Amino acid sequence: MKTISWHTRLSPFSSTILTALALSLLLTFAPASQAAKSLSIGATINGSAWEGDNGSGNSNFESDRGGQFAFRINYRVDKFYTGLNLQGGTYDFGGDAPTQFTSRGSLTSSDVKVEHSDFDLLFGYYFWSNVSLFLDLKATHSEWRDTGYEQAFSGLGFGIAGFHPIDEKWILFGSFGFVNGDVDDDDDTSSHGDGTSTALAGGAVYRIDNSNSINFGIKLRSYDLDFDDGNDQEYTINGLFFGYNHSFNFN
Amino acid sequence: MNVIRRLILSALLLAILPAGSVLAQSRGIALESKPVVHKTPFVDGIYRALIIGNDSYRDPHRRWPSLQTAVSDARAISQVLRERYGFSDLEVLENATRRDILRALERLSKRAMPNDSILVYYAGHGFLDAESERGFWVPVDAEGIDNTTFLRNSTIRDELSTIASRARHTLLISDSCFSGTLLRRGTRSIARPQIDQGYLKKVSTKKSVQIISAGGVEYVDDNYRSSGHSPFTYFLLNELENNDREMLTVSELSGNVTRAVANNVDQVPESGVLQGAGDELGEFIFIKVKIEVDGVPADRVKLRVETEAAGANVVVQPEVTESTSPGPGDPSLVIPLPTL
Repeated sequence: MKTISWHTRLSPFSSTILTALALSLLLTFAPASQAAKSLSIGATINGSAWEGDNGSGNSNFESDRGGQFAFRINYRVDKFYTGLNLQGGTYDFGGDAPTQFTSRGSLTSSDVKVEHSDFDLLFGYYFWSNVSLFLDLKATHSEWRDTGYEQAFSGLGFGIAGFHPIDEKWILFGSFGFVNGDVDDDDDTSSHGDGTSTALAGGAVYRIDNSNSINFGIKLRSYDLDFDDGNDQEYTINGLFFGYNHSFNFN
Repeated sequence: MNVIRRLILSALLLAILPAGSVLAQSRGIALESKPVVHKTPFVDGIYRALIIGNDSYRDPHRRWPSLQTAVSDARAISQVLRERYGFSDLEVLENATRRDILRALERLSKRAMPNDSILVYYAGHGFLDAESERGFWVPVDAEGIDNTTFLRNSTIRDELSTIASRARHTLLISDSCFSGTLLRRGTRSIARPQIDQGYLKKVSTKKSVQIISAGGVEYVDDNYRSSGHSPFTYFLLNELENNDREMLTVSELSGNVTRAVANNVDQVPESGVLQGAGDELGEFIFIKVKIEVDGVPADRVKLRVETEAAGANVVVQPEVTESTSPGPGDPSLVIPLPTL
């Protein structure tokens, strides 16, 4: 079984991301800090379908099966939160697959497995009682197993998230946001396209107790990529997810 | 693109810096629990409250001028309930719209549990339709005398009845003009019985749905002697803050407040029970608790009431808990990270 590698092509963001992360951790873990803090870790599994079209006159594609596993860590200080999401998985395409658009041309593909991973670094703030706004430094990475072609999409996203308690056990939640970013390929560190990704998620949390909870719901993601050579590609990755969360409170 | 992105990220970093610094100074925590023992019986439940204060009216017809003290009244009531009477679930609405109030009442009713004691406090304008003799609360988004933008008493009573159907004790305190109209379909005048252990034991287990209003069908004052509080809330706070009894019933409280207000201003508070809401002659009882958990914010302390087998004594013990009601400030991170 091939191990999914977390792609390091975050430049030109990498230095800024690391600085931001270091600063936020420094501030929130500072010895003088007495604000209520908590840390949560969670794991999520999702089953999703990757489908779309490779631009006008080209093929449509839809994965036969696919899914991702995610690990998340979330640190919160009062109304401020920051978090990290790492997720990855594989999508099997029995017929047509997403075309590999490179800076040197495009290559159609079929009957292939594509590995897809996401990296998110979030900073959010509860401006209202149950509603927060957040920034998401996002990077996605896809690798076609037949050719080894790699494609990365990275950018800064903005979103809104909220929750609504039904009672002390059940909470509904939802979020919406978009990312504007650049597309890079495997051997060219400069962008050869750009695009927009939007995400809509909703679901429910069941609190087992004050530290443990499970969550489930649906997440819809769409990508609209425009390449410098005039090609475009649109696709969605939609699916259901189920997760577990454990939190540590530091009072 | 990269320049813009770096500018945004720089702004983000600058925003994080002061936020972290301010938050870091906001709370102090150490744990040392000291149980408080009461000699009278009680039931096991949570004290919850919805506190509403409306000052800043934005009526385009200028029928509703801004008030001076409603928000400070609400804040002071919230503080005394939290710090002196162990209310662990408090929601405060400042300058609330009609929708805000209705949604908050709905949220409160959903949180209500069978043994809970629930208090709703409103400070703001009130309105009386003289022709139909219907009373209303006036939210900050009210428009002129269009009473469809108000909160009708019957709606308030319905919401209160829903809460009362789920909780053990429910108390509405309304500090607004004409708030006595809330009692039109209630039973006026709470009798002041002899308060002894037998009485407390009896009324604490029976259901109650009580109302205290700042006045009858009359205007009430806003700022009492520049105290920053209305006369009614001034004397209500005075009673709650200076109460030296471990357990204070609503009948005692309303009697004392009514006399104090009537003795000082041209206004007579009224009290009663809400008709048709299941009142069983119980009483809402305020337990004066000195929460001695050093350094722990009061909203992290709940009361755990243990009734002994003999039924004669109970132990009311402050208990440091994690909040069970999620929201900002609640450190439990049960909501999945909202990734894009």
